[in-house]
Amino acid sequence: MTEAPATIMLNGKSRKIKQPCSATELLSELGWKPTQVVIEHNGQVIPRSETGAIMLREGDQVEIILPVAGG
Amino acid sequence: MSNLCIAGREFQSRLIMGTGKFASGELMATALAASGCEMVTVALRRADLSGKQDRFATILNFVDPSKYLLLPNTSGARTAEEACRLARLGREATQSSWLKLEIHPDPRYLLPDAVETLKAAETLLKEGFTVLPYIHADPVMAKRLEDAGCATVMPLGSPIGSARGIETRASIEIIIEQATVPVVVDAGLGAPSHAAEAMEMGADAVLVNTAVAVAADPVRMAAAFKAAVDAGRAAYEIGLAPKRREAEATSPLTGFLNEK
Repeated sequence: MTEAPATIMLNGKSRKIKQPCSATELLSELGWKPTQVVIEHNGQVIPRSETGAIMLREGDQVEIILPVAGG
Repeated sequence: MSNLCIAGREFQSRLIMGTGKFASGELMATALAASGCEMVTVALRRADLSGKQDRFATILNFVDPSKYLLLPNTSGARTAEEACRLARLGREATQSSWLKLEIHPDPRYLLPDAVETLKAAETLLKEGFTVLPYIHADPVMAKRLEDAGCATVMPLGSPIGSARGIETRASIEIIIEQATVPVVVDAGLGAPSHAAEAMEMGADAVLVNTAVAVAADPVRMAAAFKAAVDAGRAAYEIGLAPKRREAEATSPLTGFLNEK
């Protein structure tokens, strides 16, 4: 039996994700590679090596951030 | 010419470059090479989740971290808390613990918030960051940040992107006189002559972005800034001629045609 989707806050907007869903799976769905971005999960910066181990749950706050041009 | 040393790391170039506002990644990369810089700033923003990645999406494809020391900034932060959050994200994203700490709550003038900057610096220094804070040209603030353990102080010449040059000269002179860490004049340098002026005053380095990025030919302008920084530094190391109120003739004062 598949689990009901969960709703997370992703970059400030509500988004439904399948369950279970790892941070790596979410990135892949969004077209980003783990090496391009950094994830903040419920206020904690996730080391890239641990992205795959992060499972996203109902109500999680997720930010996907990347370096951009700036002064 | 002597090397620049920040937090024990040596740099041959005294020009630090920002990467914002360039028309393309390719142009930015060519301009950075022409500037001779060894350290570049980057910002941090939310990734585009719409599926169409913007032109900044792959900035690290244009800036080789083995060639340039990355200096993630905290632009966008309005408080110490926001700056610390961005700093931690920046460290993981760039794998660089060097940080340009900037906190400016007012978008019109982008002037740095001294109270929040000191608070954030103290937190981040404890977490092992090498902190290069952007500050107003305030000698007392510069001392406080230096005492806290910051690697440099980076006073502004004039507001970010204003191209007005060094309007804070008198205060920057005091900062340079008192500092035991490198002084980097950051913000407002709109012309190579502004960069040369900062270096002649004894600044250890300058940080330039807009003046190069928005130039009609950013690559030649980058080279012009490089030449200006080198010239200004050389002049500082050599020592400028003393200023005088009255003229002092450069030609012989004898053998005039009208002499009797």
